[in-house]
Amino acid sequence: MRKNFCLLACCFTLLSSVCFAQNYRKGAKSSFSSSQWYFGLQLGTNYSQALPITSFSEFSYHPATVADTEKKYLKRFDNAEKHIGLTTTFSPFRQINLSLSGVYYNYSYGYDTDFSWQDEETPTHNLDLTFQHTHRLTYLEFPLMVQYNFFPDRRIKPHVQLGFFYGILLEGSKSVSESGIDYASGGTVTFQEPAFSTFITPLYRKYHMGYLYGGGLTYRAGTLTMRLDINHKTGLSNITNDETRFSGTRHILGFGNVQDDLKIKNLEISLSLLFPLKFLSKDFKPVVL
Amino acid sequence: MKKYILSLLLLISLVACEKKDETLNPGTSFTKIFDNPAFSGDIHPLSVVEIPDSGYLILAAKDTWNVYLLRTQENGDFTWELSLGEPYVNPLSGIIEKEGQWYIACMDEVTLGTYLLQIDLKGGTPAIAAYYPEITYPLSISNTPDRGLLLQGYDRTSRSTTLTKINKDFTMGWQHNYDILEDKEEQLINHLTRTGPYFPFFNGFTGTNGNTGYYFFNGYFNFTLSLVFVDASTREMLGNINGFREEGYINALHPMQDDFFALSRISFDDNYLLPKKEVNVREISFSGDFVSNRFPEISAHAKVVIKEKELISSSVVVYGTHSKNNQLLLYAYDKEEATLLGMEHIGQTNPYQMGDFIFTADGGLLVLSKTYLAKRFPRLALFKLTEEEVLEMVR
Repeated sequence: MRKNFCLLACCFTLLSSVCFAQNYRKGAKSSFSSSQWYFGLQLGTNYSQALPITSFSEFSYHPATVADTEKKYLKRFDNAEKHIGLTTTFSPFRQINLSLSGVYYNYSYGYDTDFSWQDEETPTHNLDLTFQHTHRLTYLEFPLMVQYNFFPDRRIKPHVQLGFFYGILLEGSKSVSESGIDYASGGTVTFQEPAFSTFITPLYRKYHMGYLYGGGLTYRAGTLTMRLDINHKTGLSNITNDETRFSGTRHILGFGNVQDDLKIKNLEISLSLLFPLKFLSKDFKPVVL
Repeated sequence: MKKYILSLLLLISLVACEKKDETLNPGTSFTKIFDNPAFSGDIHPLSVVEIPDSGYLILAAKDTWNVYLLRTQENGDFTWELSLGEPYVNPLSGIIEKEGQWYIACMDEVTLGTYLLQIDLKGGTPAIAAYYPEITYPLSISNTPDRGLLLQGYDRTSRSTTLTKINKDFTMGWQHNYDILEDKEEQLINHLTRTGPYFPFFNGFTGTNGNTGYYFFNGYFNFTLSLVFVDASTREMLGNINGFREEGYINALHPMQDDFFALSRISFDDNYLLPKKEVNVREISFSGDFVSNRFPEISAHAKVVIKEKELISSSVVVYGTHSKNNQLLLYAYDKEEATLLGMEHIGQTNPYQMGDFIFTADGGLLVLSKTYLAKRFPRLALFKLTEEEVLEMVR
């Protein structure tokens, strides 16, 4: 909690400093016009991939060879989510930007767990079950990035960027649905049970962090600056809370709910609308580097 | 600019101060369901014990009454299983530890005599430590303070319950018969083969040594299921708590001090928990007269296990059983005040039935239970609760 407060205070200080920087000056060239601040809105979509570090299960199979105990994680582009936030950018030089954002970030990932039982006397009598697990996590994230602009004189400027992020977990939830085929009850019966949803925030660690890199394009349209970013994010920390791995899953319907230790990899596409905060005149002619 | 740089430095330092990942010992908390691909078969959990520093040993009855052993690692993972074939049937609840060795008792399928088997912790075939042809239809076993054993059986010839004292070298001590006065063999066969009602036979000793306490057994006596108190010297009955045929009886008992007991009783389909009940062991009473709150959530004829544990400088008595919707239930009572301190429900959505539970060396609690996978396949399941969860339950 104390750490959260410090982070928020830090961001508040940062944004305050940006707001106070809003000003205008007469005259063309001065130290005032050698840098620019931007403040704006960022939104976009992202695709997550869960990377298991160590697998865990509530099942122990014997003989051990009979079962496929692994969770089958969904591919990255099956896990689309959204993010939205505020961003501020400081351009101390024409080619360098420093960007800090506060983003309400949703991740999702999923996996399937399969089970099968067979009648020893009548091998055609099977029961196959699949549980589909979908997890959705919401973080407040603070990515800090350094951008390098190519061709700073052009209207459309490509850039590359590198940075790290720190996230505070706000909420975690999951839904489990069960489906299967019953060959053992007098025919072939396919069934699909309604999904069961529950909050699982305690199953995750409160914080996570990682690094990100990517590139994009910046386009200046009059006063407004638009920036398109494509970033690849890699979590560096295990997001699973091992203290609640088993105790927190006893109430959840279905099988395969025990969480693996895992990191999150993520591809994000963001569009930022940035407003300059330093102007050269009262008619809002911005400082252009 | 300075503010900006200062803020960035502050943020970076906060990130750098992120708590180092701490991992929980895998044996501290776990859930394990022991699955296999087979359709057929049934399993009935009986007992679980903690093998010091090396996991747990589970005893169960498989396919109604075959002896089944399963060994796990400290984190609950499967190590080995062993199903004993004929003639070993009808394993009794309780895994007995004597001088570092582990024993179970079971019945000879043909002679109906009693075996004491020494378990090989590596999964080998158990060795016969003793065989008692005089103890037929074994029903329960317990340790005695003098490191001997007490075995309860049924004598079909005299139609009586037998109580047999086994010495610490496994030789037979004394045996005493307690008349039932009618033939109960059919009910017992139905009980043993689980084709009829399953009764809570048990026995034990109330004191800390053979001179100050008395023996007791829960079984058939004088036509009905009764809790019988036995003089340790004369082996004669002191008094008893009569049940009502097979419909009302004491179904779990934990001796506390003097003539106080934590017990539970059943009356038809109703369950009653009495966490501190003074019983005059020298008189004949009726279990239906023991007034207590009814626990309508407890499943009819569910197994009830009572254990005592010293927690936070006071003793608690914990009842373990399961509910009508097949949740595992743990009720923790203050031993002195007999007040409910807390309860724990395990398995909200999947069905579980109580087999046994133990307090573990790390301060946690391990529950052995039976579950039904896909609503139809019976399997053994273990739940390991951490010490924090146990303490949370009694706060």
